[in-house]
Amino acid sequence: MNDRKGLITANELTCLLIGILIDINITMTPNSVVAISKQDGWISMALGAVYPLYVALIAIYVSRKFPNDNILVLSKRYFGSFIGNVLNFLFFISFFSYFPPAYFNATLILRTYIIPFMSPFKVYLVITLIGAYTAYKGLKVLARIGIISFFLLIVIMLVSLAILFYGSILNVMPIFGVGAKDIIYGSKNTIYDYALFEWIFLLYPFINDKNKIKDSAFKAIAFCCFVYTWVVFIAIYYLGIDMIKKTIWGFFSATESIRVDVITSFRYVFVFIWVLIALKSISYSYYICIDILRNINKNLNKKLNSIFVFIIMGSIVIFITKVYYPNRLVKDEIVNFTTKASTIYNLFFITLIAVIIIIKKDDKCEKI
Amino acid sequence: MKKYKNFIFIIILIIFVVYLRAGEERMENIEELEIAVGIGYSVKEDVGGGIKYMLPINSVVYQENGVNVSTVRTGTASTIALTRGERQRKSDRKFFLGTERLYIIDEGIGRFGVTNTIDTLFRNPMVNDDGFCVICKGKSEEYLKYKIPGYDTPVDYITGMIRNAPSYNFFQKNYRIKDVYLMVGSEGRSLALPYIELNEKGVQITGMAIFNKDKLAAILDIEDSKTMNILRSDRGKGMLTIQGNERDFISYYAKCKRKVKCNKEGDKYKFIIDLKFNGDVVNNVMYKKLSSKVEVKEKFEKDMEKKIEARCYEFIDKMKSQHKADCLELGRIAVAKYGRETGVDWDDVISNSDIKVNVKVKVEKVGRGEY
Amino acid sequence: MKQIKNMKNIRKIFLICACLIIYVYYAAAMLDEKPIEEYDISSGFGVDLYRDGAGTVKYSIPFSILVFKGENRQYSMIKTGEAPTGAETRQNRQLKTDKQFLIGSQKIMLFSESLVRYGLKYNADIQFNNTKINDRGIILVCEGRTEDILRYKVKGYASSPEYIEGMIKNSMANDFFSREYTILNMYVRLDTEGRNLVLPYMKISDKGLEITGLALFKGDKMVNKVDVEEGKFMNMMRDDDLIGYLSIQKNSDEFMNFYGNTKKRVKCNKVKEGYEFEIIIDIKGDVIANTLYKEFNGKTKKELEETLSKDVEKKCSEFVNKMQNEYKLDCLELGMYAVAKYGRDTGVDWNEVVSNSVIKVKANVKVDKVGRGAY
Repeated sequence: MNDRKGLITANELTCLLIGILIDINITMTPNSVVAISKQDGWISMALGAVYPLYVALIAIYVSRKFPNDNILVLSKRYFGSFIGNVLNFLFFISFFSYFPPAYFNATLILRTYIIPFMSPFKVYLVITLIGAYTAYKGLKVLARIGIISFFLLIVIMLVSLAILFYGSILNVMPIFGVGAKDIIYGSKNTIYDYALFEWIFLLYPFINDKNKIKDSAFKAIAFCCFVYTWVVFIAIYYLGIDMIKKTIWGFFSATESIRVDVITSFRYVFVFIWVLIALKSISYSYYICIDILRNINKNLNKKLNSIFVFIIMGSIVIFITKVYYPNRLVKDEIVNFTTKASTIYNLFFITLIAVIIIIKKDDKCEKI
Repeated sequence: MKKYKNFIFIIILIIFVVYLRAGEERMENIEELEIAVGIGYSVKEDVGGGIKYMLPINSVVYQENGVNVSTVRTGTASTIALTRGERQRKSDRKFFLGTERLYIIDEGIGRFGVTNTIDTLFRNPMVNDDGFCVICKGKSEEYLKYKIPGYDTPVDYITGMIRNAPSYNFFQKNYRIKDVYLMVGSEGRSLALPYIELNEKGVQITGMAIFNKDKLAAILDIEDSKTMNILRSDRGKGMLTIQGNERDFISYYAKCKRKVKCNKEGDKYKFIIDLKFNGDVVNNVMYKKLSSKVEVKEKFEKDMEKKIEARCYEFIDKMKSQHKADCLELGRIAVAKYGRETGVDWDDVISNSDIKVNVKVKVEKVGRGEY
Repeated sequence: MKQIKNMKNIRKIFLICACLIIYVYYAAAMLDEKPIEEYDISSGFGVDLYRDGAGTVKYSIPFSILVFKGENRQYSMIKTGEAPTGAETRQNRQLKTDKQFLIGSQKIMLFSESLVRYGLKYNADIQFNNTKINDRGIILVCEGRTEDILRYKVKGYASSPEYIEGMIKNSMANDFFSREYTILNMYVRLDTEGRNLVLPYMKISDKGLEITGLALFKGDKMVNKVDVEEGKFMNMMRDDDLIGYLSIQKNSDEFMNFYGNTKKRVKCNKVKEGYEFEIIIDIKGDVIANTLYKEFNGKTKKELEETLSKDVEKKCSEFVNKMQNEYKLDCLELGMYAVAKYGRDTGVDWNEVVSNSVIKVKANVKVDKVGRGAY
């Protein structure tokens, strides 16, 4: 867990942020957003970027004031050790609530499309080992993985351009036919996809050039917004909203339409890439959760260096996933609730910190 | 302890891998598998008044010596999923999906409704979405059992037929299962698939089967199919002939492009279909001096335009009065302009709408000269 | 340092991505060209004409397709398109075949007698306009249905067109058949003033596939046929540079076979009553078999040459007689010479004119070699 050099470049920060936002769940985004917004879902998707934008603005402000202190430190400082830790722990819970669904989604896609014969538990096990080990290696490694994932995403996007040949613009029309009210209402379904941008609050102390935080944040949001909007657009363009409703992973079904003479099916190429992206997300989740815990209690620092903590954490996650998210319907209900709760709490938390900073603006920068 | 760290790590890894592999089904060698190449869907009336699904599957065992054995096994049961079990009992090899290239659906199922069939295929991620889908006369089993010398299985022949059909008769390239999902499921779209027949000369495409939602509405002969394909699709290639009497004819091979405009006046919809033909004259004994005189060429173009228009209107009238289905997928255009999920029954609306056809014919080449 | 390395890497990656897009674009755009396995390779086709139940004229164009299975096995299949016009048969055939058909590989084209008696020009047009067709393909007229001949299985051959090709080559080598029974020549002879079409005629006999003679055309319609023997002499007078066998047979014990190469010249004169033609045939060749003459010396050689020449002249004159009185056709293409000398487009019907003109035939046989000796 020790970062020897500790600092990451601006590009790496961008890729880390992109990495936390985009995970394998992107294959399901068309489905969630088309339910209300129908053929204008892609507009709703673009509008949803307003949420991470707000987070970014707050983060930029806070980081300008305290470029070396992450939000957990600040909360402890302003609210005292006890309340600060409570707030931090709730922050941890809100991140943690995204962890089991990530497991579940990744496993489900893998098992549906390529390895139906493996039991979910075995898949969890493999994911845990790989994810935990990667997170153990530290932030620099995660950053490099983030860069690789970034390029993999670009490959997927470029290849998906071919879908333009197969669909029809008619499917996306009439544009704005759904009505502004429904479009805006529909963007609330995009929260799950744009969530966890709050990680920036833990990352900005590590950047080597503090002036680049703003650029990184905006680049990350712009890229993710573009990718998400494009994914929803191309899925509607090819499948049409009626078909998207019948599929579970809309974007995935859309990419299956690409036919190249040499490659019999793009499906396996894509699943391979998605697996890598899923593993990246899992390892990020591991890192974040343990990082927050480490910040809450300094004493845990020494113990947390050992890999046993990962195993414990892994077991907890697997246990929860197995017991509480046995199938998709239950998972959807739980996720609906936890997403809303997390988002509200996170927004509350970061706004609170920002407000406190403004009020107590004569405080000097303290060293930890 | 540190010295042994790697060693322990490898041991743990091996145990782990063995654990993962334990208890899983063994994957078979390819020679032991029957590779399914074509699936047929039939229904037959059951004694008790219900219906039973019969799914013959044509599979090939590929052997090293090049002699490939093609067999047809049929599973009969009350639902499609149950036929799998029934069929496996009759086979000595493990059954392997995902490689099938052809789905032959009986006329019978068409009349009954194809939703179940499509749904079963859609659900299974192992299914090959690129397989071709056709409607057949009679029972699909006959087609899968038909032996063609020089071919391992008739599936190769039939898929070749459908794949190469677009070079004539204005057939399209979207008769694959993944296109069928879209045609059946989307608002404003309708299903149309090639129709094949088996006679003593062999297998042949004899027309198109058009559907009203998920039930077979009509089977068009090849001439009507050509007209429908021209009106239905954005692009197509085919031959059109004007024939005066037996010694007077001219054949024209052209590419066709379609554009549709939609307007709504009150409750009534108006569609304007613009067709542009661009092609070559390939056989001409009717219009003398077509290649040298501009007036003759223009007269031919005008005559062909009138002929095509007449043909289109004849078909549209038939479609509105007899079939009462939107087989030209005009609903799709209307939906794009006027909104989705408004509860409109597009088949009904189109049957009562105003459809106008404008044709433009252009002759590009006339061969090497005139004979 | 790290910045520069990053830049190079990024550029490389963008290049790879660009290549990927271009490849996907082309592949996904589905070009219309297909690999050779998607084409029907056909060695020959036939054009038939028949009337269906309602009396409508229909063209039936069967193709003999080679089906390749692996390296060794070959089957041949017949795929037929049927339609009221020649071009539409393509569209009809596509409904029955699993590949695109490739024009241009056919070496043999069969026209059924029913088609050629009806008239070739309706079909000639489509062949002419198709630039891909093999202009050097050989045409034959056949008795009965072309499909039957295409289906006829010949031992040792994948499909009958290959066998027919062999047959026609033999005729060209043995029976003074012209090498010009091709599509290209058909166009020329159908429409050029003073020229006349003749095509080999074949059928399925008790011996199998057999070329039995030549079909004579008036314009684009077949009107008559001659057998191979008669045809030899007609060919000699008609075409230049032919090879074949001639024989003299006194009785079953005494005969002589001569293998020669013919060259012809035509002289044309217009006289008050009409036209006068003189056909001079020079034949040069070898004696192949001989039990007629005991020995060969200067005298017997001359005798042989004279006998042969007279024989050829006699047979040619017989044919000319028949041609002028029975067929009333200019199947020797004499009109061509008259036109060249006296003008074109004069509205003359050359068939009639030639039938009423004076035609003289002169043959000059020269014996070159006589083999190793006499037996």
